[in-house]
Amino acid sequence: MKFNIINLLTLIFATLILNSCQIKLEDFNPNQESEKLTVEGFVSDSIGFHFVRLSKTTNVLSTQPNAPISDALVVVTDNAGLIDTFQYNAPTASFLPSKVWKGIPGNTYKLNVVTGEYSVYATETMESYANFKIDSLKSVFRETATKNRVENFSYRDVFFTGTPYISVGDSVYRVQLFALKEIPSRVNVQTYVFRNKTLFQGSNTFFVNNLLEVPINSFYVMPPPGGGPPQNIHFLKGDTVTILLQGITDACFVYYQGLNSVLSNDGGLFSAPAGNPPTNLSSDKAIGYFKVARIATKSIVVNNIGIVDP
Amino acid sequence: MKKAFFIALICLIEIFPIIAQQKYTISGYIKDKKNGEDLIGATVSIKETGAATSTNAYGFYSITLPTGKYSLSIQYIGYKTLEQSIVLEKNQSINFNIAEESIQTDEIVVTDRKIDANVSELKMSKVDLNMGQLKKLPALFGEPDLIKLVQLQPGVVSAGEGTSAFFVRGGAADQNLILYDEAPIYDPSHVGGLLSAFNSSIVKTSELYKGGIPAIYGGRLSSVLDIRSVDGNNRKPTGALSLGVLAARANIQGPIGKQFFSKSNDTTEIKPAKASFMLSARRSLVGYLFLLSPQTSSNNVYFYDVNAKVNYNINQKNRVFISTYLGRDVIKFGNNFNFNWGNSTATLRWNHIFNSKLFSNSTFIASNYDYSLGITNIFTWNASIREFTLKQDFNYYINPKNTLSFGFNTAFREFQPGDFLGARPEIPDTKLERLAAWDNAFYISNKQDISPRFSIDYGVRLSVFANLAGQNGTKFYKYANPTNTSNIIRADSSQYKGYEHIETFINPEPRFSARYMLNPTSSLKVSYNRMVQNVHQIISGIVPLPTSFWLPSTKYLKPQIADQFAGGYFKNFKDNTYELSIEGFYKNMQNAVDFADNSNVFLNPDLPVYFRQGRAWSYGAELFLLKTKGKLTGQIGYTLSWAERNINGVNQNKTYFSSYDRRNTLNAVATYELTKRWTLGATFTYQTGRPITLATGKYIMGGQPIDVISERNGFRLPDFHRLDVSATLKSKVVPGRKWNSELTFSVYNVYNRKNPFTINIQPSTTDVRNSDGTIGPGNQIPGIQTKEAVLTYVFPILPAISYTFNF
Repeated sequence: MKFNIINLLTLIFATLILNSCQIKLEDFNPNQESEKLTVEGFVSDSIGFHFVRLSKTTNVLSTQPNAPISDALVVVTDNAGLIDTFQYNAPTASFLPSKVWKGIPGNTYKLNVVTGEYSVYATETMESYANFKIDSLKSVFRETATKNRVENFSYRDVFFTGTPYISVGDSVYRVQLFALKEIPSRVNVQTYVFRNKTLFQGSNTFFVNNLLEVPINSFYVMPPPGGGPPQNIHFLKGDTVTILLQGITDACFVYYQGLNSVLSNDGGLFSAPAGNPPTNLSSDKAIGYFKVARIATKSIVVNNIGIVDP
Repeated sequence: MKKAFFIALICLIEIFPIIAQQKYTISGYIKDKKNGEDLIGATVSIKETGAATSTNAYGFYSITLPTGKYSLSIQYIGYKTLEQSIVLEKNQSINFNIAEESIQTDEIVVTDRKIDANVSELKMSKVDLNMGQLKKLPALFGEPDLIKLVQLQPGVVSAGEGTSAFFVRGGAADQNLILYDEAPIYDPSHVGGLLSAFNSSIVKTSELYKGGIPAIYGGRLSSVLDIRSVDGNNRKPTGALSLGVLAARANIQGPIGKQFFSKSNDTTEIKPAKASFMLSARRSLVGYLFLLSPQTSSNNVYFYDVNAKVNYNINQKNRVFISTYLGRDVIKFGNNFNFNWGNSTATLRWNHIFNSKLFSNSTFIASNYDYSLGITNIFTWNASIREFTLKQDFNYYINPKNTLSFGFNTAFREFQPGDFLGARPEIPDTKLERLAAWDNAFYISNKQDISPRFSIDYGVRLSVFANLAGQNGTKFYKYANPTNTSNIIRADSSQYKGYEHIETFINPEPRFSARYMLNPTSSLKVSYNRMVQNVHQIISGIVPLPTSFWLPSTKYLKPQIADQFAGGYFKNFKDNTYELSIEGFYKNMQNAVDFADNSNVFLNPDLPVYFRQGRAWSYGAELFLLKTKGKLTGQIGYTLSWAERNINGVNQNKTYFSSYDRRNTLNAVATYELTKRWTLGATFTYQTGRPITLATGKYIMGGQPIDVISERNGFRLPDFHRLDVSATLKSKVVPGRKWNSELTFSVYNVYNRKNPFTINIQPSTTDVRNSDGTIGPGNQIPGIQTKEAVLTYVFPILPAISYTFNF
């Protein structure tokens, strides 16, 4: 009986000391600023990827979706004479090209949007990264030599690389990207991973990397609080894994880095305060980004050829 | 030009008056009669002439008078006034021992007290923290905390509960110079701020300067918190044991010598020993709870601190002190995780009296702060700041109207901003460039009584700060565009050899204070000070964490400079029972440090690109009422203030409120002697909510719901207020008994106010599902993600009990 009381006191005290208390604010009004036009534009050097999505911002606590805007004039041009008036496509809630074309590295693209009271434009130049492609992919089952590591974190490693291999384990909770060790100049990439055509995306993370500064890069997914395997990446033998890299501009890289900060911000209490990331949109009544990117993609079917971590 | 010359000449004549008649000097120390402690700031006044002086930081006084008979009055707050007649025919050295008010001896002549320092003292914007009162006030977990008392002073605000960070007159936490026995303390907290690093049971005096900062102090912009430990009872051994909910404390002090074994109860009969010591230790108890379960027995969370001091009176003219502080926090989870941090300091002081007019204090100081964070098989992360300082201070008592203070200090600092060592090949090492600094300062100031009503204190401090390379050399990068975070290009680099000079910053810091007595009970005061700061704490948010690190001024981080103007009206009522002050201030800060939006400040080798420096300013008014006598004592402080910033590259270059902006602050502290044994205490605090940066809208980008962020600090948290109460029961007074005890009951946050620490807009915990239907953070693109506002508060209502046994 005495021990139970001590246990109870321990629990209460530990709760008070180690855990702060939280309450949900039911009628919280964060003084939302005026409504803004949301613009998500994308032009690539591949056919079938271009789109523009429009909507308006809502109160952060709104339970309603950001309804798409369908009645807008959306025009994409470039410095080589391209003019395409995008048409609204209801199933994808996007404006799509009216004709078939692909972007050209080095060209500057301009997006014009006119809807209601908003008139916004943005320009961006497609990067001319040399040999922007994934050379090869290879799946490897990786048995770690350090047993503690497996026990502590309950994950196995999955690798894919720009050059030598992509490796995939049988029960995979982390993905690593190994790029070329020597990158001739800065290369910004945004990475997408698909399993059987389903996009995996880290919660609260956009995977953007600067390969010049960080030649070895990771989808570093830690176990969730309370233990257990990370939930983001999970491959099995026979899965088709597709890696899609987008080669983005410096400004776009900063924009997505900023978005990651926004996604994880704590209001400036323990981390640097978040701010709306700098955009290439012309009006402060609009928020979002017009992204012009290179694309490289490759797929592989997972096998389990094993290697042992030294 | 001629006019200026004559003014200067008149000043010199005022300082060095032509000797019309023979003058002599009385000098010595003023001490506590019971335990021999030096009394800092005690006054010696001469009835016949109205002249007065006060003891310096080491209890020394000196006053020069013409030959004659005089009546000296020795006064100190909380002590009975001692009057003594002397015939001055030669220089005399007289030490005075004065007794606390509760002590009755035949020697003391009780006169009308003149405790009017609030009005008559030249210094303004200064708070003498009452350590006696602190022990009677309600305390979090029953542990009296000096920093919590600091946070209750007008002009001071905190970041919230559970933190030892404090912000003075719109300044950042790193702008406070915190000295323990003259050694700087770089992280004044335990348990991440739950408690301060200072064991209140061995603190003798604690002074907080918010403005009008004397020239002897420098290195921080906003305040100085000067904490001095007890020297140790030089007449008999005493001690205390204390047990609270959070920690246990023990201290012992006493004479070194035969007095230690004296059996006399009346300490005034014992001849004071030449040497005395103090030893104190404190340790938290929380970690022992982990031992209760086999599953958690390998975990531990604890802190400890140890204070020790020895002082030795070599002779009437020479004294030495050795003082040290060691404190550390440890968080350990099995063999997997280890995080520890702590301060350690050592102070060696030598007081020397050259003659009755010239007092010298020579100090050697060592101070270190470091932390180590490690996860087995993942990484280790270490950082530190270390300094060695040689300091020389002189007080020259020129004549009753002029006291000259001058000196210098030279400090050598080494900065280890962070060594991150990966334990796996795929986790790269990151070692931030180590730096060093040679920090020199020279100061001189004169306190001058122009007339019985009008006094001034004027001086200057010259800061000469040299940024040096680290011990093994430092590489400095030159960036193509030093503020472009989108494309960081290291255009060039400079390699400096070990301790090689990089850049020097020279800044004069004028200081000025003046006081005009309107009448014996009221005065007007004004002050101006310029402060320069060359060490900067790099913190990512408002609350300093143990992992915050320090950097010196460099090519990319210019010295911060503050100019503060303050003025006030001071009035005492009812025989100094009530002290009232009304102060206004304006502080302008150059090169205030902030960071670009979305910066990552930890382990960032290109951190200089993210620095943003600009202008910050604050202004406001403070109203303070103190009741010093009677059964009910206490204070009420109200502050109306603004703190704003305008820094290029932050908040789209628009002016924004700093995190330290609070429009209204009201603090009340009271103790009531209910009976001889029972004392009641209460504190109430109210602050306008803290401004934070918050999500106000949302949109979808890349399939992710993204927040629209407010302007920097564009949202204000709900107001903060809290009431704490306590009751202290003293043991019965039994004649001849050599011990007594106190039992304190306290209730923190009596009405269980859920004071916001922060508000987060976060994904709703009820409607986010994974692709397989389970509830969780989800791994697929969520089309719609509902969010909710969650208020985090730290402490609900918390009862506590503590017991102190004194012997």
